[in-house]
Amino acid sequence: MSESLAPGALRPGAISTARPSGSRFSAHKIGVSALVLVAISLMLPFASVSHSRIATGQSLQVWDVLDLLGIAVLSAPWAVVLVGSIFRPRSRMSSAMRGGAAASSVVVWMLVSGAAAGPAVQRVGPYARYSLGAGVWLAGFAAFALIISARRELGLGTVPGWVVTLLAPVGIAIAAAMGSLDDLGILVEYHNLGQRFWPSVGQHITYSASSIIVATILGVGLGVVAYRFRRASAPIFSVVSAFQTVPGLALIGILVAPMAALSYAFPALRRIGVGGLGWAPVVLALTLYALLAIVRNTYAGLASVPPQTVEAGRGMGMTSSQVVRRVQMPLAAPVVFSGVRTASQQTVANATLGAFVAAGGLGPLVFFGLAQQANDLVVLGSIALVALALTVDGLMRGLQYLVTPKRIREHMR
Amino acid sequence: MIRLESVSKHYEGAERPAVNEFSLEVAEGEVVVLIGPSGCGKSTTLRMINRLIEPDSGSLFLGDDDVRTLRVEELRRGIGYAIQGVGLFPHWSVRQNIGTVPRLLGWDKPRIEDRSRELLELVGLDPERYLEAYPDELSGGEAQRVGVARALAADPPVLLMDEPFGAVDPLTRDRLQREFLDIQRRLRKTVVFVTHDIDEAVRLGDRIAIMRDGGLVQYDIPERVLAYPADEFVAEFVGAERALKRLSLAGLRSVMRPQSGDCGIDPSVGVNANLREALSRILEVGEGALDVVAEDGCLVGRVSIEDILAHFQRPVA
Repeated sequence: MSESLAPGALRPGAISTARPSGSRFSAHKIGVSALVLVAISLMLPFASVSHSRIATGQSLQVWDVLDLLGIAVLSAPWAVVLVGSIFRPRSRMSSAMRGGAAASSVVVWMLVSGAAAGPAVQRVGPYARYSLGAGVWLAGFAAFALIISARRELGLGTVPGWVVTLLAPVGIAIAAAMGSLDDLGILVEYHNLGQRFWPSVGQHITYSASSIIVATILGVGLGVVAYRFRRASAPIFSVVSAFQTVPGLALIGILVAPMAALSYAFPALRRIGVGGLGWAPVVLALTLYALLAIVRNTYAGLASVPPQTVEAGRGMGMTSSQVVRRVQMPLAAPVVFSGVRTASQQTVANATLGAFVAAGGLGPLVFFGLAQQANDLVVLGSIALVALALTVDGLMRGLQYLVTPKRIREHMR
Repeated sequence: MIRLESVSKHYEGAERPAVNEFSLEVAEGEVVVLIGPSGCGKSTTLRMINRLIEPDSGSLFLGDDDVRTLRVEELRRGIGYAIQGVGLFPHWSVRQNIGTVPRLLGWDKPRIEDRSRELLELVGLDPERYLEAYPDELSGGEAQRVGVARALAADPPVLLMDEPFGAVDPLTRDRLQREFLDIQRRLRKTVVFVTHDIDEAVRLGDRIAIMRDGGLVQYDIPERVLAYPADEFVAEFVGAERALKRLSLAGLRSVMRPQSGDCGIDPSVGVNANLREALSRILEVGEGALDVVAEDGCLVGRVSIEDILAHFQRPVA
């Protein structure tokens, strides 16, 4: 046979580096934008220092807090970004420079802030607090954008990609563990929480994970039923959509009374902790909330399998459940799993609402912080949430990759 | 081997039945081509045989069994089914695709592997190269070959083929058809083949069933369909060139006047040509008759336009 087999023909991994030649000057757009943001951030307050955790702070500019050497240290990583954005900005080397420098800048700015915080606090008084200013957050945002773009340019699964991704979180974790950041308001709040912080994170993870697992099992099942039995699909979709129209907090509120009644009626349930308050209404509400994305994507995924492929399966003697398991589900898996991913993001965010029914999790940190106007506590809770959300997203991408049949994967990236 | 008795199918909401009181008998080892314009019911008929579509009335028999008495999955596992290339499972390698029915039947791995290799060789693909390839790496023609191999995997006595060579270029289709005839000569399966291409029908079919509006218009061997179209519709459907199509079905060997003589004659026509090719060559040379030579280039006979005409005017049995 002369027709040729071309295994390399569709390898979508290779990124074309060719650019339409127009202007000779082609700096990296995100790099330049990030540099502009950092320049602005140096004009914004670098920190604020207050007499106590709830007092209004006094804004400090970067030159109030740091000497020239300190400012030079802050600028150093961004000088590298500048070089990487202008000099052959399309090369992998430049991507690595930008991403690495942006990630280091996060660590450097935190270390500089941590070092500056001690003397600044001592000047003001024993209960004084040092909070990071708007400038630091803006620079952090600029760095984040650069890390994301560099990570993509370097390739998600590659070693440089991982280094750029993990450099900032690991660096900050090490700095925090060594005590270099202890004078920052956020860390003071962390130490004040003492034994309560990590159990809160643990609870948050437990609620989110159990809701997602239950919702995935239920949602995939309902999606398959909705697809297989046309008559069932309208009722299933109207019910799961209905949950979405109720605001999360209201849904939890609605569940308080029936859950309380249940636990009153069945002491066995009460013994495992089911009640109007606590984990039960939260997990139930989160599960119901997560259903729509999963049911919808399962249905859409199954529907996206070409009818000829399904008919080939049936025509060769697969039973309907064999067709679903061997043909439709594997082909639908990427779509189904992106629904699970969406639902997971939602769930991690919504789990904060557990604060209102005494369920714990990271919610109380944020909401109590807001109530007390203790901004550093709010920030601590938020950072934990963001970190959790990003971790979950990464994990879900990994899982999505694993459940996708080898051959279908290559079309996804 | 396959018998359809007054089978009807009326889709919900359709104006008229897709298949109407349709009867047909397919003898064992024969290729029957169902052909007709779009919407004539040919695909519906094919799918009623393996019960992808259930008839409203009438009966279908496979051997002596009414297809309704068999469990539908068992029935289908015993019938090879080939459709256009898209029917390959994109997430499975060629090996897994071919092994679909054997796996359903519970064959063990080594047996499936051996069978897959054997079938790839049968359809002209190198197993070493193609066994682990995926459908998106195959050309249209290769995918169709794998589709045929997959249909043959469990060695079913009956094959249903729904435009299996529909989605390829004419050159590839020509080669696939030739290979199909080759394989069929060896395996002698009972085949029901759906196409809308009359040339394909004439070439591949032992018999052609021409359908229109869900009914059977003519059921006969290709030569007779071309020589004696049952009505205007069939005549028009088989096309204005039907005389030439008939010539392409007849070999030169039976028409020429045998002679023997020199070798290396030119102009001449090969003895394996069909009458259509011989006529074309005679017209080309422009002498009314032409020498016929064997593969070695030596004279074996002579054929004239009159011989061809005489053959053409003989009644078709």
